[in-house]
Amino acid sequence: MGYLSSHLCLSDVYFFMISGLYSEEVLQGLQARDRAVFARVYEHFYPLLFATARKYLGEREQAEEVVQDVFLRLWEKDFALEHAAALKSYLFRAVINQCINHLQRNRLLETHHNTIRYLQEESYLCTFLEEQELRERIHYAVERLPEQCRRIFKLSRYKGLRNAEIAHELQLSVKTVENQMTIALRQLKAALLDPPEKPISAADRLKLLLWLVSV
Amino acid sequence: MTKPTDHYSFILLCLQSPEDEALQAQLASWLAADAAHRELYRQVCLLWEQAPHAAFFEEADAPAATARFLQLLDQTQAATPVVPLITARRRWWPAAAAVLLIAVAAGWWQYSRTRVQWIAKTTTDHPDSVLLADGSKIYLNKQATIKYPATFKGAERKVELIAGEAFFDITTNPVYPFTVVSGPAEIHVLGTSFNVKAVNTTIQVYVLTGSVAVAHQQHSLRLQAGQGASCNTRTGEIKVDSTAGNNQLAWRTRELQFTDTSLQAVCETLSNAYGVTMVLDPAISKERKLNANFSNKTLPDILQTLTALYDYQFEQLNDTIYVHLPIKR
Repeated sequence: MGYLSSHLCLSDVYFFMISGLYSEEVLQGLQARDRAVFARVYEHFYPLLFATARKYLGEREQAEEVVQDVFLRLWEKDFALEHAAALKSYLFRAVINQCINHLQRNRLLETHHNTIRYLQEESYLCTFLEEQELRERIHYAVERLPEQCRRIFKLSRYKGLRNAEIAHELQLSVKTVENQMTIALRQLKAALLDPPEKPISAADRLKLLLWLVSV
Repeated sequence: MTKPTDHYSFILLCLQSPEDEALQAQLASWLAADAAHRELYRQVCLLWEQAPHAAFFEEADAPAATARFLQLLDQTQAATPVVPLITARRRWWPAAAAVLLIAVAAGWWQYSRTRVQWIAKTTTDHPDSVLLADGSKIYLNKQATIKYPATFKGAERKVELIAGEAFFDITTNPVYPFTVVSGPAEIHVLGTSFNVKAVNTTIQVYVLTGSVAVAHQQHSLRLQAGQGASCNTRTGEIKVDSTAGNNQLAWRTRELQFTDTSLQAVCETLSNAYGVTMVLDPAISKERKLNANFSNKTLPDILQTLTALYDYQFEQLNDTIYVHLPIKR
């Protein structure tokens, strides 16, 4: 896997991620303590894992520390994963467990008792991981909205402001805010829930190419 | 609320006005009318309800976090061989370990020197800049010396600030972290711009963009954009410098900003920015405040303005500026 060690720009890293992140090579790279593989796996999963930890831990720094701890353990200890595809749920569970440790250490166990009980249920974890992935996709889709539309949508759904408050803050008419919110909803649904129209994605092309080269 | 014009604005209206009973009744009959309506409503509701949770992802800056993780990783790696030496019981061990460490370091230094071709650059009376092999730029103030490799080899990018002051504009590369070595202290960065000044036993760091970690032996301090720190190379103490600001970059940018700044501090900033010595008449108050912005001004221009603002005389003689009360005639 020669392209692993060479210089890559960010978009290359992204291609690498979607094309080969779940491959055995990545797993071997992690087991061989390959710094570059660690960096890329970390960068790829960071948003998902951070947002998960952040949901349970009050501070940003704590949430980041939890993710760091999980990866440092991966670096320091041997781990056995049966299949590369299990990597994501392995990391996700490790972050959840680490959050539980954190909450217990901070003697917040009682207040978080219900949360923790849910977190140890298998079925809840599966749903939660799926939800988190949807939220991550929503985040990226929101970032791709036109500027004004994005700002209005964030104020409404991230900050919980009412249309009239948003209109006042941005010096716009309420009508404009409503229109932009409608545009945002329509675009988000089209981007996230409608079936893709592209017959073959760039990532698939790359995969195909790599396969052809290897054959 | 205005009258909805299509399905989306109708659903939006319903989601935003759960208390409007007439509207909710209208929604119920709209949903009952068509299965496609129910599917659309279900999907838009899902997005609507999940969107607030997406806000946490805004805080997740993956490239910056990866940089911080890699720094941790490197510290972990560095710490591993040291552990058995510290846990050993006999007292002569630390000394032996130090000797061994120095020997290994010297050996490694010699080894890396033979491998990498280093270039030294020294400025005298004029600032200068250096373009590194990876596209990073280093701006050197007067009287500064830097040592850098002709090409970067191995897993890290490293340069050494031997003396003086320099501004670093480092290109982002998460895989190859960048390190500035200044005496016993190290500054670890990924892609960022920051200023480093090494004078006697003090190393001052100020970050303009991104973040860096200043490390000296076991001490380490993380700095974000707009933060500064100073490191005492004798004691190894690293502390946050709350007075640090963009004025520290003025030697290069020629942008100075004073907000309620005492005359004493103004003089220190000017002497740093223009490489001059300021001599204050003991008879004048050092505490008088200044509010002024200077953009791309020469030192004589600034002195002229100061003379007008304060009722003191600012006179330049070679590289020294004398501040004194006006002589009455």
